[in-house]
Order: sequence, then C-alpha cells, then structure tokens
Amino acid sequence: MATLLMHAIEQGLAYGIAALGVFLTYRILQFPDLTVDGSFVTGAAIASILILDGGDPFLALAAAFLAGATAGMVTGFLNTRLGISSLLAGVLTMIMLYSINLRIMGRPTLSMLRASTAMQVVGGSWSPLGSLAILAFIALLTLAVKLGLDLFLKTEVGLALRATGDSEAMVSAHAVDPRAMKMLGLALSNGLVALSGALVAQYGGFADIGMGIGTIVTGLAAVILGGSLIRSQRVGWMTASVLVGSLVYRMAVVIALRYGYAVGFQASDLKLITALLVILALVIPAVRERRLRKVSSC
Amino acid sequence: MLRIEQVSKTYRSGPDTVVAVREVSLFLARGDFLTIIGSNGAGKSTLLNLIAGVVPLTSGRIVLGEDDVSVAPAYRRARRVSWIVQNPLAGTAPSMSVAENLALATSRGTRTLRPALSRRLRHEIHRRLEALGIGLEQRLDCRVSLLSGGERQALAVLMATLARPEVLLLDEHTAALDPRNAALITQLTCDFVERLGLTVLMVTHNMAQALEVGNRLIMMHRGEVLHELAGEEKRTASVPQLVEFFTQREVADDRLLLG
Repeated sequence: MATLLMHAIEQGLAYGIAALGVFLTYRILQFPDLTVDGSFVTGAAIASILILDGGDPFLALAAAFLAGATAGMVTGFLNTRLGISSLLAGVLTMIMLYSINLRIMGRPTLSMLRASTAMQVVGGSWSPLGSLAILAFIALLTLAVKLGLDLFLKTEVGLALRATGDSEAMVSAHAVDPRAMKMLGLALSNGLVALSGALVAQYGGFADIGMGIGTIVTGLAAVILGGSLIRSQRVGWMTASVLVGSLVYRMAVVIALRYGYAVGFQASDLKLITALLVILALVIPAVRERRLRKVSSC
Repeated sequence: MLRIEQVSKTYRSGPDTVVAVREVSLFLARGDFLTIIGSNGAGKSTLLNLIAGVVPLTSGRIVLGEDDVSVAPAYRRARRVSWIVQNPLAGTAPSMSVAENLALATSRGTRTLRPALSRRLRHEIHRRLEALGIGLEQRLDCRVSLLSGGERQALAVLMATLARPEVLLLDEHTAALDPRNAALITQLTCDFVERLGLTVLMVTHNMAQALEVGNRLIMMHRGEVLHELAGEEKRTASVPQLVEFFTQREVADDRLLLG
C-alpha cells in the first residue's frame, strides 16, 4: 500500500505539470486548448529518442519543453493569424502532431528500459534510498515549475497575459497585443505539457503514441477538482490547487485500478469514468447557479 | 494634435450597406475638449471606435500629432490614445486585484519580466487611489469583480489616465451609472483632463452635460456632423436651444431629448 501511495504521488506530481499547462490555457487564458493531447506525446517522444541516442536525460526535459512550446505556437498561429476557432485550431494541431510524433519515434512505442533516464540517474546514485530520491526529484521539479509559473504570472507580461483572458478589448486599450499574449500562453502551456510528457515517459521507462489521449480531460479533472477543494483567486493558491487536484485524481485512479475490479471496473474504463467526472464537475456549478438565480428572481 | 480627414465607415452585409460615419473631418488642438451629441445611430460611438482603432476605417485618414495612424491596430494606438466605454465591466480585468489592474495600466510601453507590483509602485498606487476619495485604497488586494459599477468605472478612469495618454475618448462612460456615481465620475474625469492637459472627445446623451463640460460641441446625425458650437457660442448656449435645433431638423429621438 505504501509503494502504491508513493507511485500515486509521483504520478500526481508528474502529471501535475501537464495540469498546470491546462490551467494556464483553460483558466487563465480562457482558451480550451486540445493541442495538449498531442504535445504531451511530443514531449515524451523527443525525450525518449534523445535518451536512446545517449543524450542527457535532463537536457531531454528541456528539449521536450521547447518542442511543446513550438506546437503551442502553431495552434496560436492558426487561431490568431488565420482566424480558426480555438477548439478547431487545437484539434488540427493535435492531429498534425500524431503524424509528427510517429515520425519522431519511428514506431508507436519506444522502450527505455536499458537507457539512462533521469530516474535511473537520480535513483541509481542513491541506491538504498533510490525510490525516495526519485520522489524527491519529481517533487522538486514540479514545485520549481509551480513557483516559476507563480512568479511569471505576477510580472508585467504575466499581468498582461492574465488580463487577456479576462477581456481582449480591455488589454488592447492598454497597449497589449492580445494575439501575442495568446501565442505566449499557448507556447508556455504546451511547453509544460510536453515537459510533463517527457517526465512521465522517463518515469515509466517508455513512450507510446497513445499516451497523450485524454490529457486535456485529466488536466481539466485536476483543475476543477483542485479548484473545488481550494477556493482561492490568488495565483499561488490557484496553482497549488491544480497540483492538489492532480494528486487527488491520481490517488483515486490508483485506488480504482487496484480495487475497482471488485465492482466490475476494468482498467480500460478509466477514461470513460474520468470524462463523466469532469462532466459532473462542469455541470454541478452551472445547475447550482441556475437554481440560485431562480430563487433570487422570485 | 488630432486630425480626422474625410473619415467614413460603411458596414456591408450582403446587398445592404449602412453608412455609419460619412466623410467626417475634425481637427482638435492640444487641450481641446469636444463633446458629441446626436440621436441613436448618428455614428458617435463609431467615430470614437474609428479613432481608437477598434473598428477599421472604410476611407479617410486619422493623423495623431505627426503620425498617420489610419491603419494602426488598436493596441498600438493605445500608447497615445486612451478610451473608456459605457460598460463599467469592460474597462477593468475582473479576475485581477485593484492593484494589479493599476499595475497593468501604469505603463503602455514594452512589458518586461520584472515583477509588476514593486513596493514603490504599490505605494504610488495607494496614493493615487486615496486621491480618488472613494476608499479604494483600502481594497488594493480586492478582486475587481467584487467592486460596484461606480467603483469599477472610477478605477477605469484612473487606469485610462495613469499612463498619460495624449487623447482620451469617452463613450457615454457615465451612462450606466446612477446619478450620484455619474456625477462623481464626471468630476473625476474633468479633474484628470485638466491636470494632464488631455485632448478629449466625449460622446454623451445628456445635453446639459455636453454644454457643461468641454470647450467645443458637435451635433451628429446619420453619420454626419450637422453643427458645431465653440467658444463663446458654446458657453452661452442652453439646452432648450439645442433641443430646438434638433427638433427643427426633425432629427431627434426621445432618448436624446429626454436624456
């Protein structure tokens, strides 16, 4: 049970970086970005191929971030310059990435069992406490991303980005180009998602072309779950809530996978259940508000 | 300062064309305060939107100082032109705090990766809010979404003038407020305009207000400027005279006459 819990925490943190990316587009920019289902795999693919080529596993994380950021900018270009709607722009980039990811990987699955991943470097040098060292590494990396994002969102550019999500007309009036802000937000978001993909791939020891399916939904699950647990509008608390949401979600998944068979669940039911949970989480506040409005209008 | 030359705006949808603004020419010297009145559909708001760059021109030229800004996007003109719209919810970022909104409005130049709210800027913001006299300085870290319409519009006025623009466009920016708040916002606006020596165009439905503030007044109808009052003529004009002018030409609607 203890190892199970530790795996859940590690996964929650590693996927939490992707959830922070989804948070940035969905909550801050109010841009539902589906690119992430592709850019998550792009990160995993780039990192895997670099590591299998004998590259540095930590630099591979940085390379994954850059590749993801580029993918985000493609979506930004489609949306802001070519005028394609946000949803469609994301879907188009995601589909393009499917082919590109296969090109990068060369085949649908890459195994890194015998390669030197970041986890092996970190865990190997600390032998008896290896698994603790891996947990510490993932936790520190995730925390660094969270704190970095907090700081960024309070810079001059960060404020402009947040205001763009509120109102494009309003930021234009303050000499901010909303299109540039969307590009930046999408690049950062997908960079984080790809970083998360690279981390998850190194953690699991493999990259798979299908591993990104539902990234947007699990990301949303973390954002919404966390937001209902920690109700704050302050940036630091909001990003913290996303990580808490991701942790809670992963623990629920681990428990469901371990004990779900008792009530007839299969591992393959996971995405269906996650999506249903997100639908519930999206609908409940709306229904509650409608009921409140009915009461107050009487 | 601001030269508007033969500016037109035509909206087309299928075979229908609507001329919202028809060959309007205006020249505003530095410090001019022009009020604009006219019935619904007269093209007043469209004219302001053309100057701000929110709506693209169909033809004509807009020259700001020495620079032709006719095709510049709104965010680029915003370095020199500020605008406030009627809806108090539209001029501020609701998810950000009062202090963060003002930090966003402090500079219209290049934005950097420096922390937006330095201790010095917080201090400065506190001082400016105190000067508004409505207690907003007590709520620096309050989300703007929790403010009232009047408070949000007061904040919008401060934000619009903080970066010292050259031209200020006011599109019925007190129309959505109750009379007490409207008077407060008008007073605030006039204070800033005077102190910063801004060049102003103000659209209003309130004829008394149009006569009370500013040194020039134009009346618009169906996209054209019908008449202009300036200097002595404007100072001595009265609301009944304006009403008569409009009714003689049968161009007034109820909202203008009752406003």
